[in-house]
Amino acid sequence: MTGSNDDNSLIVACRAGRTEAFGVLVQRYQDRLYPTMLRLTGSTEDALDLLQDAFLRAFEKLDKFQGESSFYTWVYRIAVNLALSGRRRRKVTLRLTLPDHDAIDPQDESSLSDPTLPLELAERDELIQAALNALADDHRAVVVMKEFDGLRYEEIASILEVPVGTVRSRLHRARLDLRERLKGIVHEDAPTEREQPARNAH
Amino acid sequence: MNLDDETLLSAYLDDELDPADRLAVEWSIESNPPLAEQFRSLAQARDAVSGLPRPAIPRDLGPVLGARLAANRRRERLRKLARPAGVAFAFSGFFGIAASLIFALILLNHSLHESDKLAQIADQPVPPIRSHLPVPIIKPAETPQLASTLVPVVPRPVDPKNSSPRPGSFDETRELDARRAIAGMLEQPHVRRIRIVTDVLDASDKVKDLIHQDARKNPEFGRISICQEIVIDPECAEAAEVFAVPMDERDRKAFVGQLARSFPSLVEESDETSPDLVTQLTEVGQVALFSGTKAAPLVDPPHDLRPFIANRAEFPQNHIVESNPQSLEPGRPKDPTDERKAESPKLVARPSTKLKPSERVTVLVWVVTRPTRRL
Repeated sequence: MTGSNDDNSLIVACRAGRTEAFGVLVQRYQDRLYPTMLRLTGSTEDALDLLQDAFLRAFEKLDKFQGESSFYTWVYRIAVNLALSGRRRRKVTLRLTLPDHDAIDPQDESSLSDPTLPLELAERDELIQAALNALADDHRAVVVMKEFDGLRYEEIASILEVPVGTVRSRLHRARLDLRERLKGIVHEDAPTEREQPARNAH
Repeated sequence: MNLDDETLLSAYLDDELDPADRLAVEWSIESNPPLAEQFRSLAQARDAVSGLPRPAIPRDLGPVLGARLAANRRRERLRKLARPAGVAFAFSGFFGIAASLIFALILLNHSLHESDKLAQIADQPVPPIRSHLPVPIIKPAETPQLASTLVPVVPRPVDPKNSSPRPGSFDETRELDARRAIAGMLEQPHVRRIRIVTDVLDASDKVKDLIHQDARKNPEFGRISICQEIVIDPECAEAAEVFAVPMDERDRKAFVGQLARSFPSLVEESDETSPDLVTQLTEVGQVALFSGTKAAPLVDPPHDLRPFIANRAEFPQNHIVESNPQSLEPGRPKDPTDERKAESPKLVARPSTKLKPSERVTVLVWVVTRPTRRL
């Protein structure tokens, strides 16, 4: 990560009204935050929308940023909580769908996976994402933060403001759910990459 | 299974146990094959998610956020200027009634069967399509027959020096043409979805956020209610067609109300995000059409499929209508050549071994309301 000193000077500049400094912060962290938002929301547009909202909220609340965590962690926390909360702006959209028995919602799922991947892998990724999408919001958030971003239980608990035990039980239930949904997708007989506890990797 | 708390398995997997619990879990796994199997399947679920790719962000958020921040600042300034004590209500009436509607028309569907019938029907004349959708925006005095074609208004270049409102410059002919254009679009047989996003200044915060925070790329956004210029996003400057449909707030409400009454089971509120809007209108009373994330003109369906479309019949089996995917996939990483390709999306019927439930051609229609002149 770029040094927090750099971030601090940019934050000071933002507070002084220099919005271009905020642009630098956005540039610095948008790439890192985007994949998490994508997995949380399940769609490119929703992820971008969420990320915009999170950055905007961060800018508005910059005065409240105490520097106890890094700026990245702070925005990450805002974004995850925005994703989970009903406070996110809801677009007042009237949608008129003409009768079409086999219409599907045109989500841009095609962009969820890397277009350079072989088709089978891309399809597999989409199925896994679909299984993620099917989880309850709070379960999906825990799974994404743990599996995708590798956060510790304590960090997740802090972001979600729930006890560590809640994180553990949500994660376990989510994995059980995922396991059922992914039957036939993950190879039952294949050895897992990390069959040993993660401690071995540290 | 002899592990009292199964969540310990997950915690063990994540190396989140103290040494005593870790030993207990390891012992349980070794002595209990079903538990070992469960542990293994949990690990597979974990690996499936952790192995998902981390795609790069498809576009820089900086310009959009810059625009939103600028719009917020402008709004704050307007608010301060516009609301001296005692005249807040009157002023909000002046600046506040601008609104915009976005219609997203998702066109063309397209999976259908009976290829042998295609040849028979293809040469038949296409019967006129009559939509049962009312067009309440057309006032009685202006209600000639609805046109079935769209009336383009050539976008004008932006003149930043001349961005103040020009009340009275509104062209009634264009207004009428534009209303016909909308009516025509609503009559398109291949229209499958209409999305209407209402933006109303000085309405509820939720709606105000729309007009100021939507994903527009041009920092001039926010003048939508008081400007007369068209701003076309430079990334897609060639691809926009602009149509004019004026509505005031009363019209807009009537229109939306009519839709809801006519299609009570189809009109719904949703929190869908709008696609990346690449063209931006700032002239009151304009509409732009988009296809996917790229502004593009409406495209006609392939000739041989028009009879099916016109009759709302199913397409022949083993044929799907395919749109130019370069122009229709939201969020697709930008390729410099995409912009040119997006200018003319093509629809082609091609053989398919399996039916696709739908193909996507999105047309967004912006309807920007005229500021009311009651002061």
